[in-house]
Amino acid sequence: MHGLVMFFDGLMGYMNFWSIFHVLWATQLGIIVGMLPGLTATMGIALLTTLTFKMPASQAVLILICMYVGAIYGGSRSAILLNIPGTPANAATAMDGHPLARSGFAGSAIGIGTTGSFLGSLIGLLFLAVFTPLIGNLALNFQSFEFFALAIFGVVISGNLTAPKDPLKGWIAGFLGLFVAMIGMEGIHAHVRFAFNSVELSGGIDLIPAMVGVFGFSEIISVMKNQKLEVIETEINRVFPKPRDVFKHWKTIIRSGVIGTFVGAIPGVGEDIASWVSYDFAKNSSKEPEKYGKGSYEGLISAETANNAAVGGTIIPVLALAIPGSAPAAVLLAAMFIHNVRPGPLIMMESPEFVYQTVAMVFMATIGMYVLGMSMVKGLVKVLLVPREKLMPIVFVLCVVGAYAIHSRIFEIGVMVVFGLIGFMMKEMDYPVAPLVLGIILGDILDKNLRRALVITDGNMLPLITRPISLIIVLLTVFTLVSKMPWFRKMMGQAKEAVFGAFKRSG
Amino acid sequence: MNEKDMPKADFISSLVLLGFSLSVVVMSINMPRLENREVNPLSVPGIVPGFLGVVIGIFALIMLVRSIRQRGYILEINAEKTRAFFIKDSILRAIGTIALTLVYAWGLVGRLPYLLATFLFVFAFIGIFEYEKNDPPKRKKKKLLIAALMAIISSAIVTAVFRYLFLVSLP
Repeated sequence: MHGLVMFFDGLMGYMNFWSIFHVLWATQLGIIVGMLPGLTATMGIALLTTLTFKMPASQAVLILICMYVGAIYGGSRSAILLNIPGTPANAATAMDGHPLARSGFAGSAIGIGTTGSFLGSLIGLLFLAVFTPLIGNLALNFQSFEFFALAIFGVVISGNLTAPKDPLKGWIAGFLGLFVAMIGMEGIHAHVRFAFNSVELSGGIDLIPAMVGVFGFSEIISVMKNQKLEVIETEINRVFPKPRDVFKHWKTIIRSGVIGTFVGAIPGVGEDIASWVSYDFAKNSSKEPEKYGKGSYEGLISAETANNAAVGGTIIPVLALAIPGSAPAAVLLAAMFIHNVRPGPLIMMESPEFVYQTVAMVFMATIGMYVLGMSMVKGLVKVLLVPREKLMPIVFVLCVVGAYAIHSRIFEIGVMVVFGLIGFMMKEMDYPVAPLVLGIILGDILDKNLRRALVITDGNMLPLITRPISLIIVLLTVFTLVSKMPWFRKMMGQAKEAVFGAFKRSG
Repeated sequence: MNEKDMPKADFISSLVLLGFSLSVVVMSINMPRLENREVNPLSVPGIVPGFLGVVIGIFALIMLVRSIRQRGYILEINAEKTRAFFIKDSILRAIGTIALTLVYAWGLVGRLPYLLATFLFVFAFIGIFEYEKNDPPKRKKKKLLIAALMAIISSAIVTAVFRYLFLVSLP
């Protein structure tokens, strides 16, 4: 009840002209950024962080959340109309959205997708409001061993899920990210590591330029390298769906919302995995699985509900643990630090009102997304016609100025460029980049907490498995690591066969 | 990169990673132990990077063994293949993009006034990537004119917004 009061307080705080104005332009910009292949939610938030860093925290974070919600939704437009997901989060949307558009149902596909995104976002924010305080209170019991275990678990699970074909590459990316965080002055003895006598490097690698490089510059090279996109002329009919057409999928909506939120809340995993997991669940429990991939509204709504529900989910660990659920959430976390908001286990003690203020921000962004998503559909399609040759140089100019703007240092432009090239090479060789970024964030947590833990216990690592929360995290990490090993899968298969086979035989 | 060439890429990247992890471990071991400050030996600065170096090394070793099993060590690099790789349209576009962006980010920004550097970059980028050899001269001129117009507008807007609205002292 107290939480509800704080939520309404937060919401009332945004009922003024400037806040509503910011919601509208930032969400609309987010939709456009999401629509354009090559511009991702992460890049949009990273660039907007540089544009908003002189604003008060409450307005700046509101704008960034609107960009986030708008971009994750906006990617569905190009997925439906071009068969090219605007952001990686909309890849599953294209599976059924595009066949629907090709069959002449582009309008209704956009309408159903928008409604799914809206409902998913609402489910996500509900979980955000309920679970953040619970996890925040639980996290108050976290000590050095738990934080160390959580940092390792974060990069391992992120590596596992963002590189399902070859998790080894995901883990390598994650540990490389942890190493990047070691560069510069460390936080216990103020010793400068791996700076090679460079004054700039001794300050460490700043997250925002690194992320602008990894998610912005590398994407520009990839977009320019790939084939030109062909826009298909599609007639857009009625957009607003009939309530009956939405509510007949109520089970899918609730299931996808819950899956989206929970997958989103896993460190470093994100909206793209959430929508695929939800899509698979929906297909497996569907009465018409044969329609999936050929233009199923159920498939479309499952993907779009999940990716927007994941937005709320990704913010849960940001607020409660200061660990991001996805790459865009990582930038959001960095932006909060820039604005002197300190998310983490102490947030429910120090500033619980900020948690509910964030819920109010997601709510405002969700309403903005639905209103804007349902209007100006035909006009916005023209944005997709902007050729990459004209768009990409301007995006790069923004990457350069964005990397430079926060600290006004030319060095940060170099960081952006180097990380962009690293990101491009990684993507070319099938290494996921999200664990790298998560590693950069978790590196400091890992460094301080491992050394503190060793000092406290005089080098005894046993508490890692004798403290209950730490043990659970360690077991989850071990399970994540071995679950991809062929011998483990074989063993699990045999165990499953032994149990279910016995039932089948007795039946 | 196609699936067939992935073991070769893995072979090379695992060797690079092994070298990297070895360097990290050596540098971590050689890091000061801060004995003069009576620092607890379990909290010395090199302990965590050393641990990370070892883990990356183990992963790289697993990848190396895997790529060798998949015969990724047979790189088959020869002059003809290298030439064929570098004349691919997609590779040329990627190299062109990297070259232009590096010249702008490392060569122009900070050396020329920001507005001029940005104008030159946007104009060159659009001009080069929209160039079609078979276009009639009139169309070529029109494309260049549009490129110049876009370069003027975008560089002016970005400069004005950051300099006057966000009060950033641009390089």
